[in-house]
Amino acid sequence: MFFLQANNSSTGINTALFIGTLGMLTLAIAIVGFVIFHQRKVIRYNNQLKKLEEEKQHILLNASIRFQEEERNRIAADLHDDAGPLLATARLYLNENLVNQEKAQQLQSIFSAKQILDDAILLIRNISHSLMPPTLKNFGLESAGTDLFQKIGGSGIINASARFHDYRVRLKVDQELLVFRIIQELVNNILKHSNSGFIHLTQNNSGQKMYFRIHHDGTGIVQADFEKLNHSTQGLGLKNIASRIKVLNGRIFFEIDPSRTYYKVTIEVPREPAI
Amino acid sequence: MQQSIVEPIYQKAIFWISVAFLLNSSGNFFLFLYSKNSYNDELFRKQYTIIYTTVTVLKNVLLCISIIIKEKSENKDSSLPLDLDLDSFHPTKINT
Repeated sequence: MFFLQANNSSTGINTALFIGTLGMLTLAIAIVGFVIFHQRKVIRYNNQLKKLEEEKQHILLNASIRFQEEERNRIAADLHDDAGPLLATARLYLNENLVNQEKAQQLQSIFSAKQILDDAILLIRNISHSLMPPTLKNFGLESAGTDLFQKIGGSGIINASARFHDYRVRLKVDQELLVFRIIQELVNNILKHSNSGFIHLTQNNSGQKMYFRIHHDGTGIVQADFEKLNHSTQGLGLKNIASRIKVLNGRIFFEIDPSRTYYKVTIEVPREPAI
Repeated sequence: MQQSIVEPIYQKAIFWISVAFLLNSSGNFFLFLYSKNSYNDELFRKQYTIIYTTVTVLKNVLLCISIIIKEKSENKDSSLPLDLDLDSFHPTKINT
């Protein structure tokens, strides 16, 4: 009886040992397996994110290159179609035969050539101003912004106004240029697509951030549309805005007013005062 | 800040070393627990030998894997061939 009991107890211990060891090993292997599979999942997710980010960067880069090419084409077209013929005409007036002509005719030719040269100078000035507004460089964003809106308002087609509430400390020059380009692009888009009756620009500060807001009462876009256009191959201007905002370390918000009467575009820029 | 994971954990030697010791400890846990009272039992000793050997072999295999993995990753670093001769092409040498 004792042996039987001892034998039974020994078998029980052995069974428990076998099951226990097997259980422990299974548990350890399960933990290791879980760690590996979870990490693989995380890596796959990270890779997907990286791929998406790379695609976005690629689209932005393409957009900026295309924009640069378009800008070059525009300048080339301006110079070729406007400045070229003007200078050629001036040259015609000032040909070699001029010395053989009568004095009155000579004066007339010189006067015409002078007028054409004045036009050419004005044209080249306009081209250079559209490339880099001198007001922005010399007097800052406030003057350039106000000037831009005054010019738009002066056309009489649309009611445009700008108000800078607190711009006593100027931003850095390159930041000002980026903000100005963004505002220009937004205004351009509004004029082209929105059919609005007014555009209003306001500026204010809050903490270490500077805010610019453009209101208009036409057809606009909201943040979701902006994100969608930003990830598609369309919307070159919006991609440029997005890349400029990225360079600025800022943010941009496209919203519609709760009353649904006007759209708002707000630009948030970190304040880095010019030294 | 979230750390970005680039290399899978199973490509690191330290992982396989940890797994080896984890399996060794978990495999021998009940064995050592019962061994104080039941080591005189013949059947237990037989089972002890089988389990201990199996777990130790498993541990050693995993340690071998860790060594192989380490060697592989060390080899991966030297991507340039060692016998690459980059100095033979030199403009001044060509001109002279």
